[in-house]
Amino acid sequence: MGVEALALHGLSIRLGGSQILHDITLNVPAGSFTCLLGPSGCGKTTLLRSIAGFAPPASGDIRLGARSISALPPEKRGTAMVFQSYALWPHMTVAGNLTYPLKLRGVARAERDARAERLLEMLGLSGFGPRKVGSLSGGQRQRVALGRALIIDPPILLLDEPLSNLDAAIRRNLRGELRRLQQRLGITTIMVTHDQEEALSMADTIVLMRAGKVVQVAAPQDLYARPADLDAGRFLGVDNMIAGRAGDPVAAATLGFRSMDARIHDTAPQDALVRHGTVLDCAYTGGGYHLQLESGAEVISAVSGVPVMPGSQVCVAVPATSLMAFGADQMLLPN
Amino acid sequence: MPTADASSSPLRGILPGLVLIFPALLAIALLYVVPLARSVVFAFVDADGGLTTAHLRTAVELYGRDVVFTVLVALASLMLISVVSIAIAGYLTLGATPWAVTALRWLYRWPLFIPFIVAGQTARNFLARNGLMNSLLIDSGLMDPATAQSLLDWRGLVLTFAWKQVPFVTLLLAGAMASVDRSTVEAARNMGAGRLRCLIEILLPQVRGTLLVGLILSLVTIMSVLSVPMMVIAGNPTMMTSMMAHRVTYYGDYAVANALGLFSYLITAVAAYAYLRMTLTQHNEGAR
Repeated sequence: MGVEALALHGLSIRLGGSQILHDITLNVPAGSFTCLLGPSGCGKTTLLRSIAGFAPPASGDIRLGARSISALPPEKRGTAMVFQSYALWPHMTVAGNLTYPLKLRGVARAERDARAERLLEMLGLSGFGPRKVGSLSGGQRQRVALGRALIIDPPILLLDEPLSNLDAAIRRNLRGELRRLQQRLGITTIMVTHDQEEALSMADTIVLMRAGKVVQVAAPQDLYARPADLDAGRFLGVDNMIAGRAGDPVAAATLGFRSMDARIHDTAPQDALVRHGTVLDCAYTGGGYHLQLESGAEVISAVSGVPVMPGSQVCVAVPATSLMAFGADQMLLPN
Repeated sequence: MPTADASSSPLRGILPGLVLIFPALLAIALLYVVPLARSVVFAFVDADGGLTTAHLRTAVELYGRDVVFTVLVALASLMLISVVSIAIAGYLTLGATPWAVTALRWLYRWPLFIPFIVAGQTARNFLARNGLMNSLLIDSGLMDPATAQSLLDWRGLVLTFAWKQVPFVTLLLAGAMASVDRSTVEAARNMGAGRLRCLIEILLPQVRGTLLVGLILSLVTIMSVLSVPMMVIAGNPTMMTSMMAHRVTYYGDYAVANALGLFSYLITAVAAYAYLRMTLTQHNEGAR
């Protein structure tokens, strides 16, 4: 099967009397890596499961390439999903897990074994074929689960928080590995994650979701620099949201910026947002210091290369290019 | 005396423990071990108190066919029980029609609460030549009255045992299936397996230990139920329980009845051995 594009049109899902997804419309180009990003309970996993056929839509359509798959049972859709818990079959060996999808497709035994062998090599698991699944580490299980999904050469790969059960170091390694593998195979991939760093570092396109709706669809850089509204900004690490004043370089009801862009200055620089305040707290964070300062009724987080005594008066400035301007309706203002 | 105290101290340490478990040990010994050992021993003791295999030979000679019949009926029943309870438990776990699953969940347990003697009586009414089943089939035009036959033979036994034991095995099996990680089934469906393949190739292998437990307990039940063969089967051959009862009630011949009982022990012991071996293998696999 070749690589195919996915299109969702007006997809709504109700589960147990409550509306989980509201009217989702989304186009995923063939060969792209798309992340569904959002806080827990925003419906991102339900969206992924509905593509795989495990959450029947109340309305709307799911199209894979030219065909509509929304009425098909999961086994007829041809999507390949990697589950958060890996969902390996404990009664089969590693090779058994890998070859079972091929067995279902009537592939001859010799061909099955040869393909499993090639795949194990590609995943760095040569010689693991006869092992029991229970004897593998988390990272190895994850690879086998990925291999099992890839062995059928699927038109689309669905990943449900595939790295969330792993240690931070293994997670970082697998992140790069997964991305390289995806680019090499050119397979259309949709990954669910609640980790913004993971989404930013892996995806071509990020779909930001909240309360069953799509809030924003953008490339990682755009999403990071220009979140669609205040909540999206907060979720993406914009930890300062302060009221705009006359004289600020950008006119807005609310100005957002990340604390790493807010620095302490002796004199107020040009073309920057400037606030004066009293230092409440100064904490060492490894590379520098993190400050909390009180400016009128607002508390601003900022960084500094040198320690600052709590209680001292300072001037904090944010370059105009790092500012995000939000209107009174909490939406990002156009540039 | 100090020396006596020193020598009795290890015993003193375990004495309270022994005293605590003594009533339980005594009950097990008096109620289970002694009667069992007695019945085994008496199968080999003649009237004068000497050792003999005469009872065993009589048992084989007179009731050899019944022993074979019992084994075959038990195996056929277990097969039918497996197929039906796997089907029901599978539907309860994988069924996609919520109301049908709910209805089945309510219905399948009923026979659990019906005594064997009533089950035997019901089977008699239902399976006889003029019974309810044939009447229904004839009335609905599905069967020619001339071809109607009684199922009150080995088939009646198999059907009755299965009817009575299916709910029990299903109860165990459905519970085990419900605790299997659901995503393993979803992964199989995602990879292209239909519901039936999921049941047989994914779900069932993960609960085979529970199925085996259910079948072994059912086997023991089948080997010990007297009322069903008495009610359902008229002639020979019949189940061993029936013959043992016959030997004791009409001849007062405990020795041959004990010899027959020996075969029951052997059959259930084979099942117990198979079960222990399987749990040990699983345990070792888990430890590796």
